[in-house]
Amino acid sequence: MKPLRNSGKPEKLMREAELDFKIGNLNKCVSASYFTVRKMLEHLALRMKMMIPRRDDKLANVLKHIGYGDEAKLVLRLYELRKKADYDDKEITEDEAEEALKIAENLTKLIKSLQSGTD
Amino acid sequence: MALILDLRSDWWRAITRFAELLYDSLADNLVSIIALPDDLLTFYDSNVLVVVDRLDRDVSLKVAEAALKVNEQYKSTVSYIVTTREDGETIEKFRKLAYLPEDWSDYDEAIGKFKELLTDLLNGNLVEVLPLPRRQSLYDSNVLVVVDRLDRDVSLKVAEAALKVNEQYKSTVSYIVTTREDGETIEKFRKTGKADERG
Repeated sequence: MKPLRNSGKPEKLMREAELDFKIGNLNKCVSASYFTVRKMLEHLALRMKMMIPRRDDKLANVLKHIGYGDEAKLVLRLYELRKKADYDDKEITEDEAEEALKIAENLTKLIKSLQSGTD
Repeated sequence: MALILDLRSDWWRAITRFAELLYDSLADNLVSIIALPDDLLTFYDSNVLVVVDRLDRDVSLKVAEAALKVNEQYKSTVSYIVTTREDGETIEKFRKLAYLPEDWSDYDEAIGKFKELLTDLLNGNLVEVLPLPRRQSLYDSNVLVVVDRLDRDVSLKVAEAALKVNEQYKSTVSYIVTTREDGETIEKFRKTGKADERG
């Protein structure tokens, strides 16, 4: 399989999300957590030779298609939190930011393991 | 492959004008312009990819100037990303998407199914579902789900319904969940649903 260019961007976004959480930038933490997962999913879809869906919501279905329905739900949960972080007048709470971080960390681990399985 | 210029399309006239302006200001630095089939289709929040040889702040501002002019003159909106010819990955993604028109013909059915699933999953907690007209979006979303009580469990149930619908239909359900107390968001969705953005 043709190797994908490893930009390291998802890992960097994850580190930024963690740092933002530590210093209380909760909206930024959620946004970076979401884009970490979005980027990883896109790479996974490319490795699996799937067309990248234009809509983020359908990117979540990539995981559902390969048997990870619960994790796909967490992608949409994270997307919902990201919309709140970026568009809503209400602030992201510490609990929500912590949840977003955990979702991103767990999904990152899962997607990495799936990617290594496609090598 | 035939190159068809749809001269009655506001989008294609906007893109043609954008290309002219870019060529005037960037000259040989401009490599190509890849536009998606219409302005409502987006990828990375963008509908046009501008490819240049050298990208710096000055180039970026020239592209911005061209977009501002076009967006003032046409109903369609140019929303661009600029990259260099070395960025093969982004160029390839845009090229593929340019040939993949979105199909929203089953939007009403998809929304109907979404409502049905939500009614089942949320029982009496569901207040209403406010879909926007086909292909419109607000806050990256085309449906507002209003509930009485919103917590993580409710959120995951809505996600479950959306995953099912998005698997089954060509159209995409992209939602926000809120409570009936959030009058502002509800009002915004109602207004967007009524107003024709291009009117």
